[in-house]
Amino acid sequence: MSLVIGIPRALHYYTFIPLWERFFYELGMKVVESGPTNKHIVDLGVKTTVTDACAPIKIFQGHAEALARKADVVFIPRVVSFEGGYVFCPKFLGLPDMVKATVDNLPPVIDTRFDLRRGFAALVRALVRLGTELGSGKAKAFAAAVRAIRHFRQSGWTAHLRREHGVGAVGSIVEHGVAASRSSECGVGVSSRSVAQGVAIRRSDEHGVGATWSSVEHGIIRRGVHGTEQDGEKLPVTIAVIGYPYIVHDPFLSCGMLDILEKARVRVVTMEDVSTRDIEAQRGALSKQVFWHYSNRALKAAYHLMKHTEIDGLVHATAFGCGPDAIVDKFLEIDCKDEYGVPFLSLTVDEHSGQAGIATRLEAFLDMILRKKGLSAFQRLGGPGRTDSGLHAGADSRLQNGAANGLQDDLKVPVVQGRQVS
Amino acid sequence: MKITFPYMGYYAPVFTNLFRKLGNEVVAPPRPSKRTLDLGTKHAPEFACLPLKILLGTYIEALEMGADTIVSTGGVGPCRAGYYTRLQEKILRSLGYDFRMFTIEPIKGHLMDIVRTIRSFVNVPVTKLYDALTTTWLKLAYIDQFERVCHHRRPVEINRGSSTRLLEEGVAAIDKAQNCKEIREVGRAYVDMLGKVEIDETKNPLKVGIIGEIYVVLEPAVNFEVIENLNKMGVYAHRSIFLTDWTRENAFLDALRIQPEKQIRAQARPYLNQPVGGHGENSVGETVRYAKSGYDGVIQLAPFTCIPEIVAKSILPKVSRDLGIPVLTLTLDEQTGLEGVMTRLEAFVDLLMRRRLRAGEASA
Repeated sequence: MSLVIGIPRALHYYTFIPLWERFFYELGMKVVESGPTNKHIVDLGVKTTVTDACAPIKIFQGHAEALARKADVVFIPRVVSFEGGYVFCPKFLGLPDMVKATVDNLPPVIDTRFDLRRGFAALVRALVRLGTELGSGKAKAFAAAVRAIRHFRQSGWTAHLRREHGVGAVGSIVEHGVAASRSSECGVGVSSRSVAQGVAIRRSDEHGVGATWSSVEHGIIRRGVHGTEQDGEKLPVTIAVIGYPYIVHDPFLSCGMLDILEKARVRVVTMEDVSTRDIEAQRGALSKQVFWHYSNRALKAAYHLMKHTEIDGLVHATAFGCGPDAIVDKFLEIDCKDEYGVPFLSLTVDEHSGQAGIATRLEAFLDMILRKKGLSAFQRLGGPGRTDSGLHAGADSRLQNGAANGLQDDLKVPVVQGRQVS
Repeated sequence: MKITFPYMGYYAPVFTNLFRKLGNEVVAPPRPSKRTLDLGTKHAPEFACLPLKILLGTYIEALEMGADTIVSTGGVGPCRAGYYTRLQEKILRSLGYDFRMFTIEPIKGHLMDIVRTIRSFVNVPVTKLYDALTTTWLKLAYIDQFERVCHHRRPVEINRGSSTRLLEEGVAAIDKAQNCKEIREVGRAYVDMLGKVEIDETKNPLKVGIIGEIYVVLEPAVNFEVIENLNKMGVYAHRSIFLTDWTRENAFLDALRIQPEKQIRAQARPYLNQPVGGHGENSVGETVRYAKSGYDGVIQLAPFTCIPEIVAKSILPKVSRDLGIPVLTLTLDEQTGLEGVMTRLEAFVDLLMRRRLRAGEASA
């Protein structure tokens, strides 16, 4: 009986899952995920966390607790730094301790420390330590680590090894298109190219050992640019949605922000669409580098998009109570206004956010952009069969992600209907 | 060049003096008031922590009073304070203020930067610089000493307010002293006088440890004078942070790569095995230490959205359960009111009192 490792689907999951999952797979262990965020998971998390923790942390604890009876051990790595000079938010650093102190009846927690400030070799060392801790031999763990890192690299991490611009920078896993499959009800259809290129995010079959890697059941991170342009039409409006992957790409937490925009026929770009090289090229834009991993990437990606691409507006998706975002948000607000003249919208989400509220704000923002561009709403809506309710039609994604997603079955949780406001 | 700097408790006049001695005009920052906080809250990001808002408000007030240079400290994360001067600079510039901002970064790794920064506002010869720095350090050390003694005496003093009065007199006298010799004389005299404040020897006050984020712990104007208020309820409050201790351990020893606060880290390790910036690790470690040295309770002061303190706050309930020490967290922001804080303090003190009585009965 192989060990079953539980991985909460929140926070750094969105960046590092190809690495971790491949590593455990190479060691012959089974991986169980907590599934997409839903109301039940959020409720679990809210019960155990302190009130002033940010929503992603609350959700993370919910995910960890949801794994309680499904896994032999829960993997909550202490990700301190993945590149020199940048660390993760203090809440990431204390994450395993916070979960251990507050969540009862949790299986043993594996809290391997990943601190790559002193160099890349630390990643291999950390993975070997993790492997031996889980009972495999050193040689086997080393081989698995090497394969997992290579896999992670192929999935877009090359930039880190090339060490462009002096500072090694972590490329996001989506650089070469991790799974840009989008739900078919978006009307866009599954982008076959990205699926073919896509890294297997999760094994299709959690129960079988011989699971395949190539199947991408659903995208974790989507790339707006590719998917939308494959429609072969030029969309009139481009909006950058800047925010941490665990907010923007969690449809529940972000209230389906991306869906809403895409349904409104908007071309969406996110920080994952900006390459690490472009991000690090923006060093000069700041008098002192922001020292948090994700914030640094978000801020510089935004500067890149504003300087070198044509975007009509910038939406900053931030979580209530997010510490680093207090800084990122103000910088974006001031620079959008004074420096680049790009319309700016800050959208704060938390566990209570309603889709209608988000949709209304996005709609107003879009209207403003269209007026600025001199386009009428008709031109925006363009093709036949589209109605003005395009925005609100996307608004129920929070409901759908529970019911429509096959992964939901994992948890056998009733999906509470009726979150929708209005 | 008219310098201003962050206001911090009794230390403010000392820094005013320091910058004067270095040959600058100084605009002494005003004590944080309702207006300071309103100004800060208006222009700061909503989820910035209270220290940022207060400091931003202070800077605006000082700039209005004619200051044109701001000196503050930096950091390398992961606590947000390390980036605050850049954010404040950005905000103030977008508001149209014209000024220079100097950030003193940690010595480790930024030695040349510091030298450069300091040179730009030192207009006196090196010998005078040395004199200015030593007298400042001595003054700060004596002020810390006064406060320490005062915290011991105030809960059990017979004439209400006598030790506070002496403390304030002492700080004023220290401020006037010109050289090291005078400072030592004045300092010793007041430590002596404070030590002789009449107290009720029969009383055995409750002992409470104060932990949390450095700015809200050190600045009485922001923490609703929590220590004085506890003292007035007859409770001895031990403050875990004093500026001179903290600077010695975190700025100087750290620069020499001596791991400061080893014991505190060791105490925190079973619960939090990672420095999380700010005073997060200290808060956990100090709580363990207070529990082990027989304190009745611990009060954590945390600014709303302070990341390291949220980590600590999440872990403290477990420490509290394991070691049997009650912990009260006071989250401070612009919405916090004195009455709310007082009610919580009174309830907490009641709880501690009952606990002690019950423990007394059990052992009797």
